[in-house]
This record gives sequence, structure tokens and C-alpha cells, in this order.
Amino acid sequence: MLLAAIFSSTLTSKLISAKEKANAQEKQAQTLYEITSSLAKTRSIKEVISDSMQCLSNLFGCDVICIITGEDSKKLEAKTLQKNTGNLHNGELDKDQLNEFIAQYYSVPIHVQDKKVCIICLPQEVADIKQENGYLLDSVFMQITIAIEREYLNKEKESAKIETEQERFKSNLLRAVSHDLRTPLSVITGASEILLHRLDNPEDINVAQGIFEDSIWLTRFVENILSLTRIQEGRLNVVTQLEAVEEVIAEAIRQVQKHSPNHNISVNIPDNVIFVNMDSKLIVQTLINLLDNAVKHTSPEDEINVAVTLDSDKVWFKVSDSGTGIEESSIDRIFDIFYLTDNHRTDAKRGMGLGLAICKAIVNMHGGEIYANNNATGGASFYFFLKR
Amino acid sequence: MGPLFLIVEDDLQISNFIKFSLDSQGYSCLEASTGKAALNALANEPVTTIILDLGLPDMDGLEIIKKVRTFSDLPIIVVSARDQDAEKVEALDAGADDYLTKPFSIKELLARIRVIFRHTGAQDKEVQSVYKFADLEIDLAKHRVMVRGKEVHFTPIEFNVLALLLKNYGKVLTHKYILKEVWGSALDNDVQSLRVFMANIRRKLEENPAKPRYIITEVGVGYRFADE
Repeated sequence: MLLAAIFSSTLTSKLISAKEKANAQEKQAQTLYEITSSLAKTRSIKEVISDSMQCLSNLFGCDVICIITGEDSKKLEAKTLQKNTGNLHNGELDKDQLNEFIAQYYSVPIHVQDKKVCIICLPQEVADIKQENGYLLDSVFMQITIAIEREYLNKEKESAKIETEQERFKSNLLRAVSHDLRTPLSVITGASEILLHRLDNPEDINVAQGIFEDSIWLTRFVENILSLTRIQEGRLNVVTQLEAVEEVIAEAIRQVQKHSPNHNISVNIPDNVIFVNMDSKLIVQTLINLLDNAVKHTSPEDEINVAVTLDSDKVWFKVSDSGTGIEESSIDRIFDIFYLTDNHRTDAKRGMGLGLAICKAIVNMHGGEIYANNNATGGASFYFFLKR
Repeated sequence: MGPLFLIVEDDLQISNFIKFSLDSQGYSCLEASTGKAALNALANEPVTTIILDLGLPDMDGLEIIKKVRTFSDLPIIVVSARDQDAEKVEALDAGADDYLTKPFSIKELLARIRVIFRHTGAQDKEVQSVYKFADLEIDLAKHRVMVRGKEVHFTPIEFNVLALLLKNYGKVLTHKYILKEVWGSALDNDVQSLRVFMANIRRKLEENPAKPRYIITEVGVGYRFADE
């Protein structure tokens, strides 16, 4: 009988504790559900934060402070939610005092993409609750992190969209302008050439020569802009086929020597015919830009050399000269768009920034890389590889 | 009567510039700004050479070439923008004689015209058999090629390609045209073998194959025999 009584009482207490447990679990589930559904409706990071604070205040019946750490300023934004009034109060906190401040509380930092977005501060007593009920607290903070992360990604997507639109507008404008420049440039080039042939006075010829040379420079510049806008928009799909390297190099040299007949360009290529998969027009343009660049930075008595060498899986093209070389500090940025070196001769030798940026874009499109450095013996070398 | 040029170009400025260049050489010109006006001029005037812009407001330049070729062999020089490679090749295959890429210089234009005149003149005469250049002598009848004083062996196909280029001295020949003339077919992947043949020919003729003097590659279009 006693045994039966003991047995039944143990059973009863077990039942009671099971019921309590179930009740507690139901409450937790209810709380989590409330938080999740309220956070799902929020539309901005600000809203997520204020809603989270409200939920935490309801859950623990306490004041909640949230410090926004995302911004990079000396003063941090500190929001306080009072449990009695339910009012949200905006305050400030010096960055230097941050550590001291959060030490007074049970503080939980919220990280999104390895970045600390905010710190939520609760009374120290909450730490005790955590010991009994760690699961609930962790879940709540996880829900908050997820909601903030979602808003973060939305914001990033939005600004990426705006940026793309701006980029597209910019390249459309550039292209339209460049396109319309072509015809008048043809006419200016032609008309100045006619003058060159007709004039007798050396001074007049000089003037016409200036117009002629600059119009040719401008024409190349316009072609480069057109190519670049097309490359950037990805409209210029590379149509590659096997091309003979020597033909591509010969064409590039021929084009460059049309306008710079006084510079001597030497070539070293392997004896065997080398075929490489490429869009020949684009690689010719790359070589023209590199050669033009070399011509700009050399005098006719300097040397310009084009060399091709083979690796096990790469074909290397190298354009080197014995001219003024590249300023060491600008080597890293020389392929950036519109980057011009502060070289003392820059003023007279315009436009290298765009030309080199196009070289890089074209080579990268082919799966290759392009590099620049100064030669030990003076002058600069530009080299790139294409895959065999 | 001297040659009469027809300039077909919708951009007045460019048309004026070409006219001006030709005038300066003492050539007479007519101008047409539409395809319709061009065909009209061709029907009524003794035009001897056409300079044709491919982008016309009312008609595809290619159509004009095809129409002209149904009744006449008169030389056509095509003028096109740089990013119109495909159109250029199509125009050449449709029967255009040569092309110029904008912006072109007077020198280039006049050089193309000289080449054309040489060809139209040569048609009446016997086909030339011996070609001599600074360090090159080629006898088509005897199948003999002398490079810098030494005879160089050419395989039959290599020789046929060389002969074709020489007969069209100065003129750009498209890949398709060369393949058709020499191999009798023009499959796209044959262009690859043509490149190999051209590379071999260059190695036999040129001192430096990467800086050729005679066999000039027009990338994306074809080849031209020149003496640069």
C-alpha cells in the first residue's frame, strides 16, 4: 500500500512537472511566435530595432537600451525604451564610453555580415533568466539578427540597383556623345589633311599639322570610349576563334606606324606559328593601345619591342620601351579608368588612362591578366597573357 | 573622257570631304545622298567608280552592290565605320572591290583608287606573268619564286594562293573568296587551314613574318598583297 502510495505520488509529481514544462514551452513558443510575426512585418532596420526592443521589454518586463554602432561617428545613437510608459527615447553616447557603458548591462551585440550593427542592453538580472532559459533568449536574438540581416540585404540590393541604373545612364550618354563625335572628327581630320597638302607657308603647315594630329588622337580616344562602354555593359561578347599571333601583332604595328612612322618597333616571336583563341579585333586594339602608349613615352631614337613567349598553358605578349618609364607610385593604379599619372610629361601625352583601362578590360574578358613594370635598364614594360 | 566618281554618302560633310579630295586630283564627281538617288545617277550618267557608304537612310548599301553587280563590273569602294566588320566582309563578298574604314586619310583613299585603276586597266591587257619587287621575283607561268636571289620551293596550294593574291595586287581578298578560288569550297573551319598556309607563305617570302612587307593581314577580313 505504502509502495503504491509512493509510486502514485512520484507519478503525480512527474505528471505535474511535465505539465509545467509543457506550459513553459508553450509560453516560449508563443513569445517566439509573437516576435517572429511582428518582425516579419517591419520595413526598415529602424523599425526592426524598435520592434525588437518592444518585444524584449514585454518578454522580460524591463527597460531596454539599444546602441546603434553601424555608423562611423564619435557619437553613437542610443535608444531607450521605458517599460512603464512604452516611450522610445533617443539619446547619444560617446564612442569612448561605450565599453564602460555596456559593462553595466547584460549586453548582446548583433552582428550582420561580420559587422556589428547594434548592441542591445538589458538589466543584469536577465543573465539569470538565461541560465534557466538559455534556449528562449538565444532564439529571440537569432530572430532579431535574421530580421536585421534581411533589411540590410534589401537595402544593399536597392542601392546596387540605383548604382547600375546610374552606370547605364552614364555609358549611354558617353556612347551617344562619342557616336556623334565620329563624323565631325572624320571631317576635321580630312579637311586638315587637305590643308596640309595645299599650304606652302611652313607656319601654316604647322598649324594644320596640329589640327590633324589632335583630331587623330581624339578619334582614337572616341573609339576607346565606345569600346569601353560596350565592354562595361557586357554587350561586347567575346567571339573567340583561333588566330595566328603574328598576324595580330603585324596588324597592330601597321596601324600604329601609320601615325608614328618614325618610331622603330622591333618584334621577337617564336619561329613556329602560334594559334591562340581570341577576339582578334580586341587583341589588336589592346596591342595598339600599348604601342601608342610606348610611342608617347619615347623619342624616335628609343627602342620599342613586341615579344611573344610561351608558357606551358599561356602565351605572353610583352610591349616594352626604353622611354621615360612609369612613376613607381602609380604602377598599381595605371590600369584604372581615367587614371593619369602625375608624370611631368602628362600634359603633352594625354589619354593613357582610358587606353590602359580598355587593355585590362579586354584581357580580363579573355581570361587573361595584364601587368606593368619598369625595366631595370630604363623604360617600361607592359605584358599580358592569354590562355593557350 | 576621264573617270567619273559617284559618291554615295548621306553625311554631307563626309561627302564634301571625299569630293574635295577627288577634285584636288582632277577627278570629276557626282554626289548622291540616298540609295535611290545613287541608282538614278547610275542609270543616267557614265559613272566609272562608286564610293559607297554602307549606312544609307533608305536602303542597305549591300543591296546597291548586289543591284549594280547584276549589270556592271564597275569598281565599288565601300566606306564603313570601324565596328561594322561583318558588313564590310559581306560587302566584299557581294562584289565590292575594296573598303575604307572611317576615319580614313586622303592618302588611303587615293591609294585605293590607284589600285582600282591598275586593275581596270589590266583587264584589257594580257594577264601579267612576272611580278618584280625589291627582293622578290615571281614568275606565275613558270611557277618560280625567287626571294633575295634564291629560288624558294612553294607547294602547289601555296603557289596558287600567292598567285591569286598577286593577280589582285593591292586589293583585299576575303577569306571566303580565297578559299573558293583555291580550294573550291568555303567552309568556316577552312579559314583555320588558310591561316596556316598564309603563315607558311609569309615565312618563305618575308624577312620578318611579324612585320610583313608583302602579305598583309586585314584582321577579321582577309589578306592583301602589297609592297609596303
